[in-house]
Amino acid sequence: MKLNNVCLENYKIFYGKNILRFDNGVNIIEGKNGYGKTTIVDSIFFALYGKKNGDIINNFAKINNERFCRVSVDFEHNGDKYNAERELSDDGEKFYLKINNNESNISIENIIPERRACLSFFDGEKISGVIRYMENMDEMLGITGLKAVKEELEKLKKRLELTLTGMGKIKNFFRKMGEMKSVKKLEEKEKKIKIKISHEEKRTNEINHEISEIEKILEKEKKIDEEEKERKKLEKRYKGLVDEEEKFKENMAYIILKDELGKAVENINKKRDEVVKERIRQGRINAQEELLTSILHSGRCICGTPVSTSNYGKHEISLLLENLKHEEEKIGKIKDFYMGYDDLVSALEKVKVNINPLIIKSEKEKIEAGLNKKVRASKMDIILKKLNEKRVEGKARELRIEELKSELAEIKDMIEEKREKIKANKKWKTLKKIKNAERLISALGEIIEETKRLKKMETEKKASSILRTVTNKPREYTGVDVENMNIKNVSSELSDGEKHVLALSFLGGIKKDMVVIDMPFTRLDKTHKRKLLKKIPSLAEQVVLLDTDIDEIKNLTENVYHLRHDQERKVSVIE
Amino acid sequence: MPAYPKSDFMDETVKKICEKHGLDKNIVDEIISCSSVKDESKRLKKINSLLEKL
Repeated sequence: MKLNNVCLENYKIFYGKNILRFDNGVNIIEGKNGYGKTTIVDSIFFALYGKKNGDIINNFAKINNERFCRVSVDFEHNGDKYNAERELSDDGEKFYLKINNNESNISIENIIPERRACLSFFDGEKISGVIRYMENMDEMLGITGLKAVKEELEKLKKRLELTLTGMGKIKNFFRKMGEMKSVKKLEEKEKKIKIKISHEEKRTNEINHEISEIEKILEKEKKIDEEEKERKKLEKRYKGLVDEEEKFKENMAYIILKDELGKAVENINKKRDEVVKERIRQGRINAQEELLTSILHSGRCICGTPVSTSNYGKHEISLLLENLKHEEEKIGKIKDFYMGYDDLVSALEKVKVNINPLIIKSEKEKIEAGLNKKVRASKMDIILKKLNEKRVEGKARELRIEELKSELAEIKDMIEEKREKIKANKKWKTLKKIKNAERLISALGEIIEETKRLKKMETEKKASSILRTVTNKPREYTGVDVENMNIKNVSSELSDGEKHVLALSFLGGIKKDMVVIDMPFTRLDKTHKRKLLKKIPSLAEQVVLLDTDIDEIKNLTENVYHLRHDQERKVSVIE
Repeated sequence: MPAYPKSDFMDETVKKICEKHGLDKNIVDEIISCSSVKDESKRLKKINSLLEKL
């Protein structure tokens, strides 16, 4: 981290805008005690991390109704340019961060953790306490980045292991690669088939609907068809009747027959009367037969005269016989008539029923009434044809759907199979990653150790060089022992001044972009101070010194700021 | 600093360590440089993808 600009506005003792511009090399801020040197360091921590002690808004600003303070810090870090600005007002605290002129929501802690930033800011009066910071040797040596990578790898490894556990047991990781592509193809095919099925089902539904509609129409048509059939029957019957009528008209024999039969029936009826009479007469025959039998048996006439002696008697018998013969003939004829009576009546009835022109006429009229009704021709054949066509199409589509579904099921199986392969492949990849992470963690451990060793070596070399130059005991204090935070081979307790020298040697030994030291020479005697001055520019790429007396150090740089104080207003300004 | 010191000696040392563990030094360097990625999820994602390449 290197500072470019710090702008303080109404921050603590500073009223209005006060800007500090820092360069590479040495920068000096001169100010008496209570003029705000430490406040400048505090303002940087306020801007970056929001650290504040007590009321930080300048009192004079408050009197002027400027109830806010703002600190803006421009700095560089790892090649990026940052601007951190923090403002405190009655509305609360606001923080803005720009990275390379782009606004960012990243926490500044993720860029430079506060603990690391602290290592660049030292209070000279307590600088011997820098050794305390050395407890965090890794931070000081700058290997925390490597350690962080290692830690993240360990986290990642655990996460991968958890993923792997979730995946279940691994049986075969070494399966063919490139399954994903084929799955995608299959999935596309599956999608297409699904679309086809959906289309076919939609069409089938439409057809089924059409079939149902046609069936409804067909029902109506069936009735019409039945009516038509009935009509045809009637027409046929009507034609039959017309024919019969025609025949009847043409064939008068029927009429004659009818008349004859009628007469015959009348005769029969008359004869019936006669039969009745004859039956009565028949009684006479019986009487005559009895008389004749009596005459013939007794041999005497009615008058009592023997038949053999009386001509009358002979004549009487002869008459009786003749009468009997005549009567019997009559009866025979009547009997003949009587015997044919039933047949005649039946024949007559037949004629009456079948060839009565009145009946024919009545039936014809009824049929005509039926035939005159307006009935459209049945379209049943066409509809049936259409229905059959639809049914065939529906059936074909259902078969097609079945085929597609079968194909789909096959594809699904194939996808499942491929996915299993991929899953296995993923497991293999995860396992590979875990193995790589394990190897990398081991390697990083070694790299960290090696880096640490190297950095310690470099730090000790540089720090020892500074120590040797600065210390009053160059022969005794041969070098800095980074591991033990001490001077090598030292047997006695170090004085505060010596600790101060040791700490500054550490600071010089550690490669840093920037170091800010408030009162750097407080505990040092003139000899130490003089010797150290030569080493100040090598402490870091950018060195910021804050001191009350700069006579001895002002020659180190031209970039010198002076803090002036207005006793009346009790405010400081930077010049 | 996130990475190890850039020097021929360190490069050689890291190369040897990578060879010992059967790792590609370029990818190891890439993974180490991930520490400069500020967004944690992006950083982990990148490390994760690089792990596969190792």
